[in-house]
Amino acid sequence: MTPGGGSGPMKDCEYSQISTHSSSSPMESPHKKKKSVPKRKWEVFPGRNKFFCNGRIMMARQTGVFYLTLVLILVTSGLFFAFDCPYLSEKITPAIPAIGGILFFFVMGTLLRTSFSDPGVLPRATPDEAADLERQIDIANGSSSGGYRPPPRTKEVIINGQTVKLKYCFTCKIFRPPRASHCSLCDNCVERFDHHCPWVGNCVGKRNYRFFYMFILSLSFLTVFIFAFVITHVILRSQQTGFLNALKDSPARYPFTETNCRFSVVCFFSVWSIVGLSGFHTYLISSNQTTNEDIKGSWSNKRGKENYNPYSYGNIFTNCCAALCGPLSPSLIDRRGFIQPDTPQLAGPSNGITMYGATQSQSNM
Amino acid sequence: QVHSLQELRRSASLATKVFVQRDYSDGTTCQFQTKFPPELESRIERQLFEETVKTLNGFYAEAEKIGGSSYLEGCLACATAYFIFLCMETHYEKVLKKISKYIQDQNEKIYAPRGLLLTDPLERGMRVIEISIYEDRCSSGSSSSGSSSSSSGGGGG
Repeated sequence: MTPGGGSGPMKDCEYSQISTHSSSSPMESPHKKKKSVPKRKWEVFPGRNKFFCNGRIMMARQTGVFYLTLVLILVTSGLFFAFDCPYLSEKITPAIPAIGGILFFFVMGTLLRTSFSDPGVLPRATPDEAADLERQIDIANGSSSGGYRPPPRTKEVIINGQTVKLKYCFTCKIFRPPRASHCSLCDNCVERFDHHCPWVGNCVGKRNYRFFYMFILSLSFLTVFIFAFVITHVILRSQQTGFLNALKDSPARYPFTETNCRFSVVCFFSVWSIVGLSGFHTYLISSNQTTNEDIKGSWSNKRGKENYNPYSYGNIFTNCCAALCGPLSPSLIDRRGFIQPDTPQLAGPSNGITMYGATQSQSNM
Repeated sequence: QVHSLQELRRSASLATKVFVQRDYSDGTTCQFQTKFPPELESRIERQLFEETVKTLNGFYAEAEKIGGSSYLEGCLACATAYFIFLCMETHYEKVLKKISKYIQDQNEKIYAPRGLLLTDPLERGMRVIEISIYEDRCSSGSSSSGSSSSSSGGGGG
């Protein structure tokens, strides 16, 4: 079968052509000997993602805001541990830096997990699959493919008594599963797509939603914690020396005033926005909706009395448990796998065909 | 003429591929349609095919089951800030290994002798079960070796 059209500049495989000089191959590496280094699948991934550590880490293309998030958290926590903890651990209890440390560790762990993991990207259809789907759609429409783009393709499915429309994704050439959506920033279809979060530098989808939720929840606790104890610190000092003096205290150290004021401002705004966000996501989890669905009002009563969420388990507890403690599905894109030649199709030996494994390599695109 | 899996790759040529699509009527859980594709009509008995798909569906249901053990795994993972996934294999991954073994087993025993090859849905993004149909280069089609000893495992779960 010939590879489907429109999926790239790959030519049909010609068994005799083992030449390393084809200019049409997008996978051409500058090395002279093609068979030396087989490529990993992440290197030819079609979406707009960045990969690090040889495919182990996956992020969106724009990561600037993520570094900002990291800096804000590290600096705020760092200042807290450096300047408030010594005083507070003496005055009140050393449990304060201990708890702060645990919270900080949890926040960083969940942030990195959210940002670096695959959110549930659906790999694009292989040329064979795409061709098969096209055929089926043509049969269903009863028309031959013309020069114009046919009307949007949808399939209807009944899930738990509710009619759900599955849309066809023209980029990925698949019918999107229910709750999946195509992220235009990353150019991927993501399962159970929630939203694209620039603060974590990644999409939030089926595989990393629980990490995201744990991140914002623990961050809420951390910011409230820091904010509360910074205020406590100022109050305690002011009891010792008078409030105005407390603000001007310790010229020998890093300006106490400035530090605490800045940090309180950052903390104050963060507290309200993060806590608000946590609250919103708690609501989403308990009703088993995604941000995407909530924004579009897919399951709201306003659309009609018969409209309800078919994915909800009925009670809040089960919904929460399913979202947070349910099984974690594996990544479908196999970033670190090697690109294999498609053995059944090629009768000859596979040397040098690594770069020309047209069908198989495209199957993972 | 009966083919072994190795022979198939060497001597047969790919004729066409059939795709068994997902069945979303139960929600987003991974289930495949048990409808028998017409292209396989002459190649394999209906019950064998349906049994394969039903067993696979059973495996996937087991992987995605929400219950006591999955909660335990989830809570333990959360308590360790998910670092435990660096060293431990999840329940889902364990079931996927079982599935891969089952598919290989089915291919060797049932599908390859009939000139067919199942592809693990994991390699196709869990969207389809791809069944490759081979035409023998030597003869016009494989004879249906009516081996009724299907030793496929009983329904998983």
